[in-house]
Parts: sequence; structure tokens; C-alpha cells
Amino acid sequence: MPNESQQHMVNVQINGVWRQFPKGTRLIEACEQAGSYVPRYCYHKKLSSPGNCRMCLIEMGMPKMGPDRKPSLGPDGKPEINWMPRPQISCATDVSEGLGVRTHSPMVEECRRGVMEFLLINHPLDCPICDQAGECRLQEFSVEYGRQDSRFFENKVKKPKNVELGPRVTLDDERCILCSRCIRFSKEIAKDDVLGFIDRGSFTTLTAHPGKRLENNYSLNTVDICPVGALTSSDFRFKMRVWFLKETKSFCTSCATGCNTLIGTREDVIYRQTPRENDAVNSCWMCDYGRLNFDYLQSERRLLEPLVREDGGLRPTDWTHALQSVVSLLRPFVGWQIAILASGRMTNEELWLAARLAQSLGVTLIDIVPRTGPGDDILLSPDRNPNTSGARLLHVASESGDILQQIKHAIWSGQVQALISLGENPLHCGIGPELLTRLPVYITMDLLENEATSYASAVLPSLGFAEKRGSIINGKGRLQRLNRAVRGPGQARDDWEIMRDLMQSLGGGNGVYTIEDVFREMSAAVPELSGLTLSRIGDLGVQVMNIDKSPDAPGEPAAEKVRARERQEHPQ
Amino acid sequence: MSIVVRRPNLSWSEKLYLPAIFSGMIITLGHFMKMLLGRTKVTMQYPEEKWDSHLPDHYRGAPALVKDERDRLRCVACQLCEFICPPRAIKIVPGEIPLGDRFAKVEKYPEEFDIDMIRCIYCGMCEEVCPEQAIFLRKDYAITGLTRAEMVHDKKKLIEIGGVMHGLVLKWNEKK
Repeated sequence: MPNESQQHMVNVQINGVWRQFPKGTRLIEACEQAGSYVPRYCYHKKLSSPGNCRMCLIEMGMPKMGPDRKPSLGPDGKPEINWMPRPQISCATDVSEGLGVRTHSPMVEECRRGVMEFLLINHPLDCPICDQAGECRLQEFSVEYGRQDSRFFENKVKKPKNVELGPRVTLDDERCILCSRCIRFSKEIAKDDVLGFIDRGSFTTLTAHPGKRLENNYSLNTVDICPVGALTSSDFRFKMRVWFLKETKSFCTSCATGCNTLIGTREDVIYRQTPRENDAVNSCWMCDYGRLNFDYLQSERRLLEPLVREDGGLRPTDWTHALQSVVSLLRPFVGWQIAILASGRMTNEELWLAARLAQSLGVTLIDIVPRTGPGDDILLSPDRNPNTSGARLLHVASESGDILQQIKHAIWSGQVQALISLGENPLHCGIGPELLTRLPVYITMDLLENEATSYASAVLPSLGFAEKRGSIINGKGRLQRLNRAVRGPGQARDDWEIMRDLMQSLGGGNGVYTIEDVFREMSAAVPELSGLTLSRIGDLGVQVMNIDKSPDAPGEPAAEKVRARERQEHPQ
Repeated sequence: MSIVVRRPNLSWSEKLYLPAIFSGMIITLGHFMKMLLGRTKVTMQYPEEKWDSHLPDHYRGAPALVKDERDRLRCVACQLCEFICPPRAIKIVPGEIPLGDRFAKVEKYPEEFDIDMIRCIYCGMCEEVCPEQAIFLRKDYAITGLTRAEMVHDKKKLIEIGGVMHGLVLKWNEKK
């Protein structure tokens, strides 16, 4: 591949400097790579280029040809450039041999000022109440190319405001600058062609096709790519101004895809999740289901302190006492009398410690609970456990789930006397209340209070995906890292710490003090993870296994698409 | 590095200190005479007497929220004052104006608006940053309370201090 693209390199002069780019690169991308960002509204690198916002106008020229039809060379030995008298859009032009570009010439700046003035004619300028304020392209570019005052004295065009475009998206048509990114996204990526423009001229209005709503599972991506505040998330609407949000790089744990995200938080409250670009996983997108699946971390049902059953009821206690009671509850039993219900939502570190805990107790009945749901061929995986691959790699999960069946039978037959559930609700996997009441010891480590916690002998509150660090292997075998965005509530503790302490009270010191220690231990034992540390995983993850079953991330970079098209049209 | 400051060499008359003492007493006598003649007034009997009517227009007292002539609370909860506030005294919880409301066009309003007057330093940045002309520093300066909770001005208290302000830009009227 590198050789092939080497052959297709073309020379382009950008702001006086000659550079090389692979053939098929969009000019706007080439300029960005050369360090001069060209402002744009309608262009998005993962979507097609309609060239309708006219913001990315640049001055362009082709090599001057001599009478012999050869480029005439200047004194520096490089081709001289014939500059075109009129500006061109850089988003719908590909680089070609000898092309010259000026991105900041007086003509270009004047064009941008003109485009900005036109875009602002009907824009309401209600930034104080607009959720996009602070990350609005229109705001950003009007700082650079906007006028201080308006020359427009007529009344602005009135358009529908506060339109419910779908269950999760609110539209303000007055703010829309008609870039059509949302329309193209729906058509090209979500494959749900529901949006379009009606009317003409300054009355052009974005709307859903008659009888249709923007209700597909990817609708909130239109909010992300909307360069202005026309499309806003109904969930995030008026909750918090974006400049207060601290954005932590993380990824979504709602299915096995593991879309990379930014978690927007302020003072230990999560306000939103937005997708983060990672071409190996999710491109620039994520599904609405995963994006909005963080409310449970702020739920009233969160377990805030360890509980131990005393005098017939669950009583709050401190961690030392809780862990001591768990140990004394487990002491009377030998390995085959204990079963561990692990979870595919646990991180590798937690699974590793769970496996070690099982080992030190002599437990062989350990499995994760499969969690499935409908998938699609865009991003959502039918496997709703984020770390099934990790659980299999660390031999916590059985391939076919038969150990889970064995656990059920063993509880039913009375062989298993103690059940430890790590973040799973046994009632949801076929272990009913009649079995739970029969168990002398049921220890649960979980985030939320549920029907099963009332049967527990001890409850250990743990942390959710945004509150802890750890690594997870997604469905395609990519190792990704969770970073802590918020602190856990109350007395809840990190899962790996709880298990480390349990092991310590069961069998003495184990030399694990930080999560890095856990990872080091794990990477020394598991060949797939050898040579890695938590920090080496990086923000975009590392491919550690090759289990590519799901389709590629949608919306490949435009350059790739164009190159593939070139190869198809002109096979060499 | 140390700098040596030389002590001044005093002459014998300066060493006596008497000329300085007398010239000081002449100044004191001058003030005393002016007071006897009623030309200067030194003490104001606060709090029985107050200077309130003499406060200049630019006086910066307690920040407050104002309403406009149409009885609309001008604040739209943009939270810029919360952002700019150097001691972080302001806390706003935004809310959405329901669709049927008279001012539904404005869409957003502060559900809660608290200013912690223990934290407030009367810098006036909130007034300066406000894009809606909704928060102004009024002339109230004697902010007292017996508990910390009392010292937090909530929305009701802020509107009470702020009152109605006339002649502001009517940005949200129907004609834009």
C-alpha cells in the first residue's frame, strides 16, 4: 500500500510551499495537513462533498504551460502557476500535479467575509440560549471573518423553531445555515433518508420528509456534525453550557463495538457523551443507545455504602467490616461449593482479579452472563457485553456459556452453597428468587440496587465505566482504555480494589497496589497483552486479537474512497 | 543581593525634633479651627446616618437580576456570569420555558439563580459580561446574615433587589 500511494504522489504548492500528497486527497484536507485550516461548514471528511456552503473558497492556479505544452519553470526550477481570477471551493476539488493554492490571500479573505455576511443575514444570533454556543463553527469563523455590525436592516426570515424532529433531536430552523450535513449523514451513514430541504431561496427550510421522523438509532450524530445550533440534543438541551464541560477520553461500554467517546462532565456530574474519531472502531459516529446510556450512573438506585446482613436485615457498614464479613461468610465453604457470576461488563483487570480470586478459593464454576440484543450493520453489535473478548481471553467466560448452565444446576442441586455475583443480577439469568433464598451465602458487588440485592448476605458497591480506569477488548479484538471522568458516589469503591482486598483478607498480601500492577501481572501471563501497559494502550487502543466479524466503521475518509474509485476507474 | 540604605545624616535642629513637632501642631490646629467654624465634618453617625443618597452612579453594590417593562426576568440562563465570576459565587440551574408561555420565544430561563454573597467580591464582571442586560450591580452594600445560608441570595431575593429596569434593549420582541 505505501508503495502504491508513493507512485500516486502529486506535487502541490500550498501558500508558496511545494508539498507532496497522494492522488485523490481532497484539497481541503491537503491544506489542513499543510497546516493552514480552511474554514468549512458543509464539508465533513466522512461524508460526500456537496460544496454548498462556499466557506472553503480558496485561490487556485494550474501550472503555466509553455508553447511546447510543458510547464514553464520559474527561477527556482519549479513550475510557474497561472492563478485563476475567481475563487474555487477546496472541498470538492482533488489535488492534481502542479496545483497551486493560496488559502489566505486578500481575495480569499474577502470571499470568506462575504460568505459570512450572507450566512448571518437570517441567523437569529441567539447565542445566549443556544446549546451550540462555545463549539459553534459560525461563532468561531465570525470571529475571524465576521463584521462587527450588520448591514441588514430588513426583517429576518421567520422559520419554525423548537421543532421536535424526532424523539431525541430538536430543530431550530432559524439557526440552520443549510449545510446539509445532517441530510447527507442520514442518507449515507445511517441509511435512513428522512431529512430534506423544502422551499427556495432564503425560505429554504430543513425538515423531515412528510410522515417521517428522525428517529433512527444514529440520529444524535446529526447534532454532533451540525456546525451551528440548528440540531440540538433533546437530552442535553439547556442542561449545561459546553464551556463548563471537562471532556475525558473514554469509550462506550454499551455493546461490544466500544465506540470511542468524550465524556462531558462538570463537578462529578456527567452531562453528555459525544463520539471521538477512531477509524479502527467507530469512524466519527456512535449510536444513540450507547450515547444516552449513562444516566444509571447518576441514578437514585446507586449503592452508596457496603451493606451486610445482620439481625435479618441489610445494615450499612464500613469497608473493613464488610470485607471481613464476606471472608467469614466464605470461609466455611470449599471451592466446589462456591460459584462466581462474573460479568462481560467488567474490565480486563477486574476479570483477571476475579479469575485469581476464583483460583485462590478453588472455584471452577465461574462464567459471565451473555447479554444480547438486536444489532445492526452500522455500529451496534448484537453482543451487548463490552468485554466478551476479554473474558474469553482471560478464561473467565466459557465459549458456549455451558458453565453458566452448570452454575444454575449446581445451585438447584444444592451443591453450590455460596454465590458471588460481580455486577450481574442473577434474577436476569435464570437464577430465580427461590434459588437465591435457598443459598446460604449470596454476595453481590454491583452499582445499582435491584430486586436481587435484597436477598444478599453482603452488598459491595462498585463503580461504573465513567468512574474507573481499566481496559476492555472489543468485539474486533481491539484493546481500549477507560479513563476516569467522574468520582464515584458515596463509599463506592473501584471493583479491582474490592477484589484485591478480598484476596488479601483471604490469602494475605498479593503485591497489587495500583491498577497498573494488575495490568502488569496480567500482561506477563497473557501473551496477547505482553509488552503493553495501561498507558501504552493510548487513546485509540491497540489491536491485540484478530476476531474481525463485524463490518468496518462507516464513512471511510474521503481520500480513501476517492483513491478506491480512482483504482476502479483507472486500473494500472 | 542586599542593598544598603544609608541613614540620613540629621542636622542638630532635626535631632531636636522640636521644629517637626511644632509644624505638626500647626496643621492640627488648622483642622481644629476649621471644625470649630463648621467648615469640615469629620464623623458620620452610621448606621443612623447613611451616605446612600450620595453614592455615585458607578457604585458597585450587590449584584441583582432585573425585570423589563413587560415584567420579564431578563436573564436567559446563558451562564456567562457563572463562567466569568472570579470567586465562583454564582450558581445557575437553567430551565426551559414551556411552549404555551407568553415568553416561550425566549425558550430558556434560570430555574435557580444563587449568588453567594460571602464569596462575591463586587467586581462587576457579571454585569459587564451579561449579553442580555439582566444582571446589574445595585447600590445595596450592607449585606448581612446570621447563617451562611442567609448570605446566599436566591432568585427571589435577587429579583427583589433588582426590581424593574426601564429603557433597556428589547432583544426578544417579535420584530427582530
